[in-house]
Amino acid sequence: MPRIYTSQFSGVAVTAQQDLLSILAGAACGVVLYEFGLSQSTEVGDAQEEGLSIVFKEGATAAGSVGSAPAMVPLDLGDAAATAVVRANDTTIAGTGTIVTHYSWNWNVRVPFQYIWIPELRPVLRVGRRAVIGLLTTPADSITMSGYLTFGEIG
Amino acid sequence: MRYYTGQFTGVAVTVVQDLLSILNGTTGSVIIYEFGISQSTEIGDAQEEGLSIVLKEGATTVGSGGTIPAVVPLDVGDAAATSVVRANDTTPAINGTIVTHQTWNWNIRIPFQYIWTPETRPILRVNRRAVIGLLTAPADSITMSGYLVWGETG
Repeated sequence: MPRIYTSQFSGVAVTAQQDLLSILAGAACGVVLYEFGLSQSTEVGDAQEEGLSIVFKEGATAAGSVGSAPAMVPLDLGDAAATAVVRANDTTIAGTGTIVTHYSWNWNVRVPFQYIWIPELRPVLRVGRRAVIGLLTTPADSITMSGYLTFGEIG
Repeated sequence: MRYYTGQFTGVAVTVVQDLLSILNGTTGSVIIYEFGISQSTEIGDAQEEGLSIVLKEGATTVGSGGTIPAVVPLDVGDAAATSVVRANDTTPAINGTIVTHQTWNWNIRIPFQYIWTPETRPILRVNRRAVIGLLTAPADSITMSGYLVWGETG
């Protein structure tokens, strides 16, 4: 049974393309991804509606920068601290290495976007591998976003 | 089972087409788990429209006009896929005995995602082709993304 963790950012003004969330598996544990969610609170109503391109990528060998390293919280507080590293809102994206794109979506910002992988399809990050939830579109206006990532560690 | 994804991003869609297709190889089976389609450019009440989407199977001649996206294993240690995915073929795959399994209408303002339950996942035997087809020409160009997730056995 993996140890399950969440990591999140809240109320961040997003004005540029960025790695909304990224996770790097540690040197000793594989990572299994379960779910992520994105939402925003400031662009509401028909006139503010827009579609933003979101991708799930894997394989970057260097971290992005400028953003933050949010806390990783075990869902069971008795579990050990996570060994992975989560980053959020890196406007300098993780762009080095052989990067592959697994999924591509367009998010209508009027409603939250949630993606839950079914058990068979949960992405597995082997040790030292990095995955990114990336925003490929510059928002028309600043949007105040929140987001979260739920993952497990094995080993 | 080895799992793979294939996707396209930011493609201007103006005509009827095979949004995604997959051809199983010469060994093993392909099991389809999920697909998703969405768009980013037609937003707001006035741009809302409904497009007809179908899942078809059985075409023996490949479509054309589109691309062959990379096929990516969900576990980087897995072997390369033996099936072939195509995207955005404006000349649809034809010939053969083509059957339609499922049909939907997609309101383009919100992403459309379909996950088959375990009992109902489509199975493609060797050399069989399935298509996620767009049967409606959009009123205006829409900039679309999409993905397909499947497993390979054998």
